[in-house]
Amino acid sequence: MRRLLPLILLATPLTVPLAVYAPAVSAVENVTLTFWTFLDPKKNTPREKAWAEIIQAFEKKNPGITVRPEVFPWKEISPKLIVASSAGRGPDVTLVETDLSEKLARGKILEPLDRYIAAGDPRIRDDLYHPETRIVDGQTFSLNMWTNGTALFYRKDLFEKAGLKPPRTVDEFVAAAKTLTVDSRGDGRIDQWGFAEGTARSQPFGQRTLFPLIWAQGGVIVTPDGKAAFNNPAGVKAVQWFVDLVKVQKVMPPDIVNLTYDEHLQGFMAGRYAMIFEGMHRYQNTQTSPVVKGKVGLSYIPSWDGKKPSPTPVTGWDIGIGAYSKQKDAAWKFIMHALSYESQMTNAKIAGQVPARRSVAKDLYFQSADATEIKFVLDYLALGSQEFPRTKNVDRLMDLFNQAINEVLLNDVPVKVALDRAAAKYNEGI
Amino acid sequence: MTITFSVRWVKYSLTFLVLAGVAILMLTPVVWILVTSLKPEAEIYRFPPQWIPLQFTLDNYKAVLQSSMPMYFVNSIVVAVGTIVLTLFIAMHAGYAVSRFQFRGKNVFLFLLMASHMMPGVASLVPTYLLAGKLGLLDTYAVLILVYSMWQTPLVVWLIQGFLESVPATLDQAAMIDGYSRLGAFYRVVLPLSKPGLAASAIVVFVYAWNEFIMALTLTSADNMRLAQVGLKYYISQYGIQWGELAAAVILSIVPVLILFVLLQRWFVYGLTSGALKG
Repeated sequence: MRRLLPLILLATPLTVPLAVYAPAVSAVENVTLTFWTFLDPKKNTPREKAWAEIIQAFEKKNPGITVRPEVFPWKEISPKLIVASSAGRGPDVTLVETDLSEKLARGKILEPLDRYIAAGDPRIRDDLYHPETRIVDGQTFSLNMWTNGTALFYRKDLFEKAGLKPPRTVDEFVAAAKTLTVDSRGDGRIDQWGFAEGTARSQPFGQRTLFPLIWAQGGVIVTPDGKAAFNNPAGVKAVQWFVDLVKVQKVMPPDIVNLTYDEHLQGFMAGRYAMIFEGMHRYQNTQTSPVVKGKVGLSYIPSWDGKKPSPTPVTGWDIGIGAYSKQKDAAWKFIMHALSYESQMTNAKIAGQVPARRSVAKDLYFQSADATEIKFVLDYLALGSQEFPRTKNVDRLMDLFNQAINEVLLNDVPVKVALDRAAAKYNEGI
Repeated sequence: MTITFSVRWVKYSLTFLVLAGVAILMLTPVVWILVTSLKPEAEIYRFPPQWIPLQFTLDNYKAVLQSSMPMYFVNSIVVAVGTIVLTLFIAMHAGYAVSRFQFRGKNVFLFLLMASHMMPGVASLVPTYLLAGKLGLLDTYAVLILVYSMWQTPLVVWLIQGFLESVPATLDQAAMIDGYSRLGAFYRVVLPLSKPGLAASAIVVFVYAWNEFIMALTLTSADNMRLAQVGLKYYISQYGIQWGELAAAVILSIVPVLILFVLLQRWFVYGLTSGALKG
């Protein structure tokens, strides 16, 4: 025994960490993982086909583990996670809306991933775009699965006809919008507007146009301690410019106060708007409209001075482990597989998704003609991007910001006053 | 004579115009959805939109019928019919009891019953989910039937009670003199006379169970247990809205309610109004 004692003492420092991290590396067998997603692998759209392939490859590599996707409408995943977790239940793995990841993390709905990352591949976090936004109170609760940049979608045919080039500055943007605002039937009613962005309360999205213009001036939306700061001079300047598009320049319809996120895209696809700012994940959908098929150009979001485009707002989906999962090791295995080089390439090639990992983006495929749209986003990300702010109540923040715009548009309230009120209301609430 | 006729004619015309106006207002969105469901993709995006499309297609209906929607419709029918049966079974007995017996706290009981119906459903979402999970009822027809019945029973007790009070109690007594028990009198004499009230209640319950969304979404996760209302939401994706298929699915989802209403329309109107004239 005395002979063994030094060996035991030597082995202890090695075995303790192994024991601590054992769950992350232990073999898992005969496990069914529930995976909450909004993409149904049984369906036939490219994104859904890509997921089917990713899951199939995972099950092949891990014969003891079966993935059972449970599919929900995309806007319902977060509410359902909240309800299920309140009752001590939930999925093993779930897709997480990036904007809501902090809210879900603070609600103890997601499992911290740090020990799995440390035991697996610690470099993975820094390989993602904006890794800092995944950290809540010093812990990481989700990892980015895919990235969606935002761009200016414009009608190439209309631009060519009018001899216009994609705008680089906001002034060029206004000039183009003026040219493309047309009363084609001469009845005093505009049939085609130069630009539109919706601020309807049910699906407000004014932030998509305005946050990049605030960021481009060095302004912030929230302070580091989570308070609303969009009422700063950069915010006032951007909102004033936006409101003037309706009131002064008359290139945006006044009914944007009732225009939703979905209707704004439908309007562009119907030829009602010549330009919109839109998430790149919706580009393929525009090609289903015979009105604009093959006529949609992509450009960067203009900036104030034209030296560099405004940063593209990055949205997307994260992937995480449900806090109440009883099979967290297997869940982590699946996450690592979903984020693997192979799966990210599958997602890019089949679904046209922009990879979430910088190392994957270096693949030569993204220089090829098949990946033109993805390359556009990757180039834009390299020039500058920002994620929408993570705050305790991001929905409320966006709602109040858009309400302030509507107040200016509908009630002629000065921009500064409306933004101050909205920021104060948000800060009171938190 | 002529003046009386003219006044009456003007009155009728005005009534007709107002009712026709309201009907057009209510039906316009439905007609628009119907027209959209028959349009090919190119027509849907045409601006300005056309009421009468240049081209008609049934492709949207084909796509819906080849998807999982028919299974969701069957699920909705099972749940709606189950809810009607359970709700009516409980409510007709409760309604009979409160219409025929005087007991201490009856009014308070009825008030509390209705008050419970007024609580927003979302308030009980988490406890209901927790309870269903503990009982192993998640992803079953049973949980939806139980929850929907729990919500609809108070309202239906009120509806049926109002109706039963219009059926003379002397009929029960006469049946009991003839040898029926209290329940026998209820089943054999009162219930057949209450068919209009039951039919009206059945429609109310069916429409509720058919249209309910949040509970159906929360208490089921498996694809084979999904209800039609939840299925409709899948046509609105993060990438855009499949308008043609969504419109076709909406039209198909209206059909069962429409059929039920047409079949029970006579009783529905009678059932709802007769309770109002009790005594």
